[in-house]
Amino acid sequence: MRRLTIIFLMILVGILIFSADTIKIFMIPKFTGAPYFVATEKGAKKAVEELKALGLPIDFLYTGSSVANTEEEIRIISNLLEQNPDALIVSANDEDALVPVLKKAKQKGIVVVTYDADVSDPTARDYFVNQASFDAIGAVLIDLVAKNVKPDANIAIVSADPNAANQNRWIEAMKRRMKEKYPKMKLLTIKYGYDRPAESFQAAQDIINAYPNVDAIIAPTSVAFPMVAEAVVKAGLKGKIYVTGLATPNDMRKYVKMGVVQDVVLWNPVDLGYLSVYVANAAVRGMISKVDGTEYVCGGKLGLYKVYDELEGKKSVVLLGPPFIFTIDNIDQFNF
Amino acid sequence: MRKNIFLLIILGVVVMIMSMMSKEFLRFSTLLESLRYAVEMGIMAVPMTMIIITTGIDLSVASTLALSGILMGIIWKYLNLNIWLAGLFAILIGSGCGLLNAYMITGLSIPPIVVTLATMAAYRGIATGLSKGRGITGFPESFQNFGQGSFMNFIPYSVFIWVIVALVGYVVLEKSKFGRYIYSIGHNETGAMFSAVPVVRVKNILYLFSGMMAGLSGMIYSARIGAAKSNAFMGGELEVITAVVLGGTSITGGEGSILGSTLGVLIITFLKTGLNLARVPHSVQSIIVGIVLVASIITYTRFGVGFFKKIKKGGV
Repeated sequence: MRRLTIIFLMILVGILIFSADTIKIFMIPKFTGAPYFVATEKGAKKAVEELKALGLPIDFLYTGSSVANTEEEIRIISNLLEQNPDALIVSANDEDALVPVLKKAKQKGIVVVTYDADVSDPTARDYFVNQASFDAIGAVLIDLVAKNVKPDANIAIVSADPNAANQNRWIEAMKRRMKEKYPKMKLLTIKYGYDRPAESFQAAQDIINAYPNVDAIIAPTSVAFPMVAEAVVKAGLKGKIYVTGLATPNDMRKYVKMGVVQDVVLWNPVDLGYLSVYVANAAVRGMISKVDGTEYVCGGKLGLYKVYDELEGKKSVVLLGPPFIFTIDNIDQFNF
Repeated sequence: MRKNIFLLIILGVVVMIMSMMSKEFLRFSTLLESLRYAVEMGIMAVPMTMIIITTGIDLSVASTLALSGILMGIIWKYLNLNIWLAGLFAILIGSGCGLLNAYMITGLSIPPIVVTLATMAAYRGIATGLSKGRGITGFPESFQNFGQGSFMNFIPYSVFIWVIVALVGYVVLEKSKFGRYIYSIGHNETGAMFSAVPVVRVKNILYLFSGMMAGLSGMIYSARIGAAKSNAFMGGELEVITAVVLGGTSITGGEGSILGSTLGVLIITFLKTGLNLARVPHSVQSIIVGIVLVASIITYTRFGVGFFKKIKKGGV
């Protein structure tokens, strides 16, 4: 704890010494307009205001293509490099295609922070602000089942595609959590809905029919999650089968209000945008402190963050934190 | 010619307004760097101009670009072929795609819009299937430098290729017998046929050429982004056609020029660069590009009417 206090003091001193200079930060999401990215923009702008109030003014620009378009994103970044920003915050439409233009930015001495979606080459950026680790998501989903049903529940999973990398890593993390903490919990089956609503619905129905002893169904995809909820309602098993998974509040609002779903797991995109600006600002102003070879960065009201040298295969990662759980009490505060 | 003068005026106005809106715009380095991202469009606009002059269209260019790029990557990676040789293959593959279009259009007499609409989906589908949605990366430094580097740190290398293609296209279309054939087909295909113009052969060559240039662009594109991707240049065919139409090529055929299309590409590129630098939101940018396009077309038709009246009065 004393170490943390020292770091905080160092940051405060840093703020006092380096105040006044306005820095330029450009933030380029995959695309603008979508509620998810509007939420990251909201968080980012809040961070900019806070930093301004602290005497750390930022010339902040949030811009991007209005639809997901890799070409436009590359062109926008390339054009904006002419204005010599101090930092770029980018969510990559394509993990490979953006590497050259971001490398060019780094060569010009610009700090590059990726958020939401990283690029494949870690040398093309300085930091990646990761919204949630696979491990944490897997653990939270299993913990929710243990808490809300029972530690020896029978569960089933509806996933997207057997080859979907993210899906498989989440499922692996869930299995690990079960083995470590709830050895009596049993995974009955994994069905695949291929991220198509009709097939996901069918997969959920198959589970309900084939396994009458199923206590909980987990759907770590935003396509399958509402369909599983729908299947449970149609089977008249609302309240009998616990349903949870990964999706946005907008995807699930209806089912949360109906009471079929109690917990929707994801991360908070407002916080994600907020933290990204803090990281970029700190990197530009040299406010990332190093203690015992580990870097720490201040995330404003979110607290102090460690920079992971490596996290789940990605280098230089700032992890937003534990996943966020949307419930009936807070879901209406979010629109994305 | 009148159209080209008008286009030059538009280009001048765009450059003037944009340089007032941001101080970084009117610099050689900014303008030249922005051309790097217009090379593929510029190259593919050359055959597209000729095809549209003959009242045809090629919607498959962006998909051909993606397929050629992916196959180039696969040949390079799995057959261990020299990357430049693989690049040559990309051009050949593009030509093959073009040839298939040509066969269906002239051999089977299916309208170009139908054929290329189908191959647009098919070529993209094959590219996605071959790459399984993942990109091919790790191209040699020298190859990447060709797409990402600049001559004397100033002029992007790929721009030279665009200039060569445009010059060749200009000479062919405006100075050669083949060019005359292209215009005559656009004015009156039946008439051209009876005047001993080898209509089928001309069309075959044009669609082949279009595929070839898409293949070349696929190679340049892969070098530029350092990866071969199946989603490369998604929707780019419409950008190419937009530039060509803005450049004064009549969609009903018989009219158009390479200079005009090149100016069309430049206007769109500089307009977008300027608006990005002036921090204009993207949705507004699309509206502005649309307005410029419609305004130009309206001016052309007015100009055209006046022009023909003058000729009549003059008693030609």
